[in-house]
Amino acid sequence: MENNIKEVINNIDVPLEKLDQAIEKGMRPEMKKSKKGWKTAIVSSVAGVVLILGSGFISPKLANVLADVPLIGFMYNIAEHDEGLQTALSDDNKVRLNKTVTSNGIAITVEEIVYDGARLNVIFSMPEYMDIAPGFLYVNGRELNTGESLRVLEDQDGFRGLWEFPIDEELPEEFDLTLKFLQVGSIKGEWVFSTPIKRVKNDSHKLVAGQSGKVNGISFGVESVEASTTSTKIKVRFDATSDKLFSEEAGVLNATIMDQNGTPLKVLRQSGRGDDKSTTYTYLTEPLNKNITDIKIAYYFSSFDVERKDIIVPLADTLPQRISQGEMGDLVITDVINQGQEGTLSFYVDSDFPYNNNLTPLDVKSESGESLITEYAHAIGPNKFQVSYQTNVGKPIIHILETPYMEVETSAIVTIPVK
Amino acid sequence: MVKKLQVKSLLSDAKKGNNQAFIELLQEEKVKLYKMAYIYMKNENDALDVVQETIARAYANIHTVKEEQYFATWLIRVLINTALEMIRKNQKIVPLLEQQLEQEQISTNDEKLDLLQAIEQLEEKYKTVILLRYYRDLQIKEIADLIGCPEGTVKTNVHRGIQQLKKYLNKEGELYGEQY
Repeated sequence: MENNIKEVINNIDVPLEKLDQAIEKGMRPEMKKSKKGWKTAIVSSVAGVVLILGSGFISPKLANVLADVPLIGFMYNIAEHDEGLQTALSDDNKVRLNKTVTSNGIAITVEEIVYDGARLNVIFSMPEYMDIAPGFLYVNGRELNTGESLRVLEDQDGFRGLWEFPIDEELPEEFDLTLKFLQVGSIKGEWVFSTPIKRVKNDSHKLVAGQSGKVNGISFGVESVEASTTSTKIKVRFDATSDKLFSEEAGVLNATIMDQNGTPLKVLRQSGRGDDKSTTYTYLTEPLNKNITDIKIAYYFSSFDVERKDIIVPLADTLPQRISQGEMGDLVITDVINQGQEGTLSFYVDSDFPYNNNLTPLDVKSESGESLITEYAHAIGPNKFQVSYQTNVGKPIIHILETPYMEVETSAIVTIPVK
Repeated sequence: MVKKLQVKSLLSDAKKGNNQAFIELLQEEKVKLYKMAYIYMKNENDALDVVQETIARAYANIHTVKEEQYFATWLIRVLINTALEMIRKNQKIVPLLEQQLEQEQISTNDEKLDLLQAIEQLEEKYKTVILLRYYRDLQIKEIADLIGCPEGTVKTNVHRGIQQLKKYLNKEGELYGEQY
């Protein structure tokens, strides 16, 4: 009978077209749902992941210590990857809770909580990583329906994680916060943490919004921009449902958020919410530095199903090295600076198109194909980027994906004055 | 080696937000995912819902997958958790009439489908290990790691699952015998 099990399952009919549609829908930004708990929240954070596109968030160089934990990827270094949060964590209004709740033998410790007006961050720990869901977040007793994301801070002797809850609505400067979890792994229980909390002092102020534009015939307008020393929150509303902004038919709406010179800002998170008429994207970027006078946002569509074209070439002995990638401009490696066992490679893209960190997935590999990257591409100027990689593994190979053709319409760029 | 390189690169690209890379990663898995979902949910619509939700969760969390070799088992785990959650949720709202119709449909199936029907009727803990062991060809240790329980428990549940299947099929046989 054991042999027949596979056969009968293999004979189940598969509605392939519907299956592909289900996969596409699963990848689409979710509308805000009225379901409760983090089960929904996790789903609604999909939009964030769609457009954050990972780069610059992770430290692959730390990955080797995680060899025994296959489900966890790279560890997150707050100081390195989110200076604004680091600033918030040094504020007096940060709550040092350090409370452990044990339910049915499972202990969870909430160490620190910080709220900056745009996001609520919780640092927690547990003996080993297990899924925590469903979870609930209450502000003055009212449940908040919000997305959440989890990053790994430590995973050697026990697990330490960072939750981030984007806060889209105006909350009081001071409130009672309650976190409640009902299941950890497969074990049901109740873990409740409550504390009063105050917003950090981060010089939060609103910039002049209302700028409008049009991308692929879809009107959009900047609803609000809130700048502070810990983050920048930008809301942009599109007069279109989410399927017009993210689907096989429409393609994928992308943005490059940059300063007045065209240097991309680091986007920490992006989420999308909508109804049957409009969709609002909320971007959380790093705090603005003092030299920024304008924020520019350029919108453009990319195809949903991009034909993958790999370009693999050895790193040249003499630089600059020009790598052709068709219509979207050559990628030019200008220099490599070695320090210890790490190299920092600088490159630019010879194009008028406003590239950002996510559009330049340059990988440095060993001859055997292992990625040597220790820090993904991050912008250092307009269309100028740097990556870091391990240098003690032989001749480096450059692996890039040809950027698919995209263009920015003049009407799809808005400028928000900062000062 | 070429394939390994390609898949490794796909995972890396998918983590960076390349949709096409994510879709390509799913190509080998999607049909198996659907079939597993179907065994849990017993109908096409719910199975597709489970797949959709699984993809949403996988898409949101792909950055947590360290290496390509873990992608398939990670995806299976996401699917199992999603299916079990959906079953728990649905248990409260399935109308009785629908259950009756489903059972009437089942009773008209031929002998080959009896085994499928028997697998569908298994308790979830047995269904999961039977699917992983005999459909996905995972070893006992791999199953134990995937569902987070001791190897001994997995062995016991595989054995009990098989016994339940045999019992179910024998019972059906007797039933048919009586009918004849």
